Amino acid sequence: MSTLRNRRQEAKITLARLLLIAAFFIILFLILSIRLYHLQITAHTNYEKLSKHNNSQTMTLMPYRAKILDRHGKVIANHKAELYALKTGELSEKDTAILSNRGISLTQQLTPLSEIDYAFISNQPLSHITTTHGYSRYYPYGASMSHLLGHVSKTSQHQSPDIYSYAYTGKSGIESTYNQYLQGTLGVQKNIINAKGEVYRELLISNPESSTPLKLTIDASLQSFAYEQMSGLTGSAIVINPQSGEVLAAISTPSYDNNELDKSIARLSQDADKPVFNRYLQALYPPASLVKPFIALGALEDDMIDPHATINDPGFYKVNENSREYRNYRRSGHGIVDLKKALVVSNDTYFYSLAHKLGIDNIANYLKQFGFGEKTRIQLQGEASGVIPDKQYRAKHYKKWYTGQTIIAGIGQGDLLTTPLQLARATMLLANGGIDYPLHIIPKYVLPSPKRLNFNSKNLHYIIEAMQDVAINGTARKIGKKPFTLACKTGSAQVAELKEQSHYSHLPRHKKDHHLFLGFAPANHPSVVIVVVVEHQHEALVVANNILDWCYNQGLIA
Amino acid sequence: MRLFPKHFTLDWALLILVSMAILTGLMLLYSADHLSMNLPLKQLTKGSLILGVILGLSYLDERKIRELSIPLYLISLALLIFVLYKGYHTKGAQRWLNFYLFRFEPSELVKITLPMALASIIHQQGIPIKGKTLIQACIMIFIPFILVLKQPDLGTALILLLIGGITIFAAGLNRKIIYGGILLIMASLPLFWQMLHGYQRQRIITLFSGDDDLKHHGYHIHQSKIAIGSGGFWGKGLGLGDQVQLGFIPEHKTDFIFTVLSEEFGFFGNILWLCLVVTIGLRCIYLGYKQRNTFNKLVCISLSSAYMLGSWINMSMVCGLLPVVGVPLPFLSYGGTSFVATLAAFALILKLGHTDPRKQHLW
Repeated sequence: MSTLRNRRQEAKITLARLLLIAAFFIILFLILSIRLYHLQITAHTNYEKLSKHNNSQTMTLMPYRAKILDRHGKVIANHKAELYALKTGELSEKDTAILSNRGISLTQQLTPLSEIDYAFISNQPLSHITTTHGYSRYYPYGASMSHLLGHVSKTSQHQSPDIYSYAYTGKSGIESTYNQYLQGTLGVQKNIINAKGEVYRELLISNPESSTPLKLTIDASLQSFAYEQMSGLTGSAIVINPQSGEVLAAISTPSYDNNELDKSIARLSQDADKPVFNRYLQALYPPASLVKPFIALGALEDDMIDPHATINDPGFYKVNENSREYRNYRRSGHGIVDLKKALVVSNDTYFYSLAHKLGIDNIANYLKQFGFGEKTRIQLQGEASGVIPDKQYRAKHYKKWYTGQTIIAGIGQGDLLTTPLQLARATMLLANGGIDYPLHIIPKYVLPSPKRLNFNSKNLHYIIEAMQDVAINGTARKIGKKPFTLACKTGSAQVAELKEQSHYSHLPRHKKDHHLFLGFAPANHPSVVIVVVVEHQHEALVVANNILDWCYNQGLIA
Repeated sequence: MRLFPKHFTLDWALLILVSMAILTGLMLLYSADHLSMNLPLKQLTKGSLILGVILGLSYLDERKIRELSIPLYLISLALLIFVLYKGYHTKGAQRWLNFYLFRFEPSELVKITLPMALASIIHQQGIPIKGKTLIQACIMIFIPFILVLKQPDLGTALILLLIGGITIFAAGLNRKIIYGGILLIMASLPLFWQMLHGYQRQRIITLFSGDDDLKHHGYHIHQSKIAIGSGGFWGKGLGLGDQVQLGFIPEHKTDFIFTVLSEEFGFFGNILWLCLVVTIGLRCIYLGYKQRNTFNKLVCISLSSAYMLGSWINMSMVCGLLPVVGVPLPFLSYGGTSFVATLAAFALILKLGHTDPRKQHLW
């Protein structure tokens, strides 16, 4: 008894249901289309960015840092090849084990390798690690140039996450001042990396370009010779050309090896001798007797003194009956002293009385025109500006200014402070008759037309003659016998006050006087200006003498 | 019986549509294999097993097929049980049977045999489905559902449940029961949640938690969303999808092959593909509608529903609409079982869903 089937009924039921099923699927697929529209059209830009972020890596290609040359084209800063391992992702435990068996630990993203390790890693199928090569900065002259050239540091990854090869950034000296130029033009490479972090395709966007070598005014052989002379001493030596303002040599001792600075910076900064401190640029010394020719010239120009007027030097100067005695360095005195003799024997009493007569404002003004108290604006960073006790300074630092302070300013003590570079500049102004060439280390194509001080040539000659006499009969007579004419001035800056002169030899080293020397040669048309400052030791004169002889032998003095 | 009888006729429209889908799949595999013919050729080699199925079908007529449905269903159940004990473990699930020469996934087989078996019992009893047959049908759905869920393969299990549901629905299930069923499902959701494995729950949580925890549970989905989104309107071009080609999509040859389509052919390609899928599905439903025989009708309808459902679930999962479940994308995903099963389903539809029912026996 089979059931009769109503075929029409069956078909009808099914049609309605089939339409419902079809509608159900169409709705499902519409929902999916909307979802796809949202992902691919609305949010496309965002996802495209994420995709790029996933697989592209921007690499900065570093050009070789430009070489630095001395004035004769000798290379004084160069580069040296180095090998590295570059981590592109997290290493697997197995790979780490393989590496640590070899004694290689890759803590940083970029690790320097020895040649053997480099070969080892290149030949291992390690993932997330590749080898690369770079270079480090190399200074053939090492310590003798380090304050001048400065040092570079590897840019750390925190500063720029995109840089995978180390970039070198100048941190001091010329390396810092001319960093941008020395760095050259950076290149850009885009890497397409896969999910494992391996480079899949490389795309060079732009090539790195090195700058042409940077030439300095420095004479490398003079610089190293001067450094040898200064070795063991603390202080600085500067040689400049007064006819252009070019710095031929600038030494600060003690020094450090800038090739090794990265490794030894911690120790160096702890060193009591402060080897990293650039003394010719930043150290402040009382100029002592070196100011005498400058004050004297200022006073002559101002008609404040008659060069032939004399004083009697009993060995000290007194403001009045009741005042304290300002002593000459020679306790017995120099007897009858005129200006010339005062300069030649470096008589203190004469300059005490001159200072008293001029007053502090005049002294400050005279010294200011020689560039004391202002930066020389040499192409190095961190220059100190020195101290001139002008009105502003006195108002700021003192409630009352005593005459005594004015008097000792006459011999370059007290509040006066200068850098060796300032002394070099002032000496240049004496030497070339007042043309204020900017001191420079990098030859400038366009020098600003220099400021000019106009001296009465009679006065200038008077001073220069006196300074020549210093070398022959005066305080520098030990070095006076030269085949060329030399105008110079010596000075010793008191560090500790003494009751009795005999105590000096018992003073601890760090309380002994600084010895200073300035000079130029030949006296009539100078081609070399030299300034030497030696802290707590006598050798300034010897050092200056040796450097001058060297210059003469090399034909620099002609 | 000859392989190609004199009056050999087919539904050419469906055949062409299916061929287009197969070609699309081979092209995407070519791209997914970094522009190598290796993978498409392997897929074709595995797919050539379908010739055996077609040969078998050519010896059968619809009646014999109907009679074979229940035994086939029982065989596939046996394989499902077998896989639970002797199965091959991969990625934490036990889905594969290793036959030395090839590996085989019985849950793909049951996607075909279940609709056939259901259709055959409904055919015997007649439409609308009710009473004993309904209970029998529910049991027939439930057994493979549980077995597949045990593997665990939540995606396929749900597909089985849904195909069964659609088949019964098409067979004219009483409305009251439908409403009751929906209520029951709603009520059992919390219970279902309790039954889920930890990672299955995590996948569902990921779906609703947005872009949190990308590197772990959401990594697959996040990367495939990037692939899809970065494709834009026109796509990046064949073989030029960065995400896919650089290996940011795990499983980009199998379950996540939709990302290849999306990234390289963009929204445009996706819409064409969706249209193709829906057209194939609706064409099959239409063919089923045209049939006089309840068995033929239901097989066509439920197999095409299974096809569309599988496609939709896979694509929705890849673009983050659904949690990640291991369901391949028919025609596109690399994998012999899925490819052969899909082809077999369409061979069956072509056989049973002949536009002219009188000529069906000629095939």
